[in-house]
Amino acid sequence: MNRTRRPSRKKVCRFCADKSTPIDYKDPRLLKYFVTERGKIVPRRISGNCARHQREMAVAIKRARHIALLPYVAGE
Amino acid sequence: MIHHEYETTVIVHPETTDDDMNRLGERLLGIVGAYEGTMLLKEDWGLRKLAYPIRKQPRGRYLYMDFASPASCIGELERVLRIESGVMRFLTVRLGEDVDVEALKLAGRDKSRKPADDGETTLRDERDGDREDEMDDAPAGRPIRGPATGLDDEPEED
Repeated sequence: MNRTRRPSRKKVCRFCADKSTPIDYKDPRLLKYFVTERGKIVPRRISGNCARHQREMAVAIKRARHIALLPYVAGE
Repeated sequence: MIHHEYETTVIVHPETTDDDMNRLGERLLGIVGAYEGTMLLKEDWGLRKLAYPIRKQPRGRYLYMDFASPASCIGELERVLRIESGVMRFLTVRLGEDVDVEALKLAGRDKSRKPADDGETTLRDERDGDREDEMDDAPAGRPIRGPATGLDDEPEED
């Protein structure tokens, strides 16, 4: 019973909070925050995105990768 | 005829000349026109650094267009893109279904969609440095991930 549970502050999906931010695959600057340094998509429990926006984000990242705006694999 | 709105991004070989760029642009424009489509925006994003090499090229020239056309146009457009030798990669995304072309023209779809410079994928001024050693042309001391913006601090993994 030694599970130290850090107090979790409630994360709010930033795309729900700010409806004006479109998830656009052509915007690598925004997308980069939802990708690890390795280039992997950041999971929802970390990014705090809601299901819908995480889904949109995943599609956007994959599109951005295809047109080489984001890497498939990055770093060493 | 039902028209949908599409956007197509094409990456062409970095050594493509301006003439060839224009010729390709005209050809694509011609295809869209042949299907009675309407070009809403055609934009040259210029030479950008690719996130990974394509056909061994570390950079590529981007051509972006936003247009409304019948769905059948996309097949022909992509067929031609596959044949064009200078084209390294392309992506077509449908933006809207059964759109009203006249309304779109009025809606000002001609704003630039060029991705913002993030100092990493974009080539900075061509004048700086040798074109060959682009891999380490990031100035020393510059953070790889770019400056933090309004986004909440990235939570650490638990």
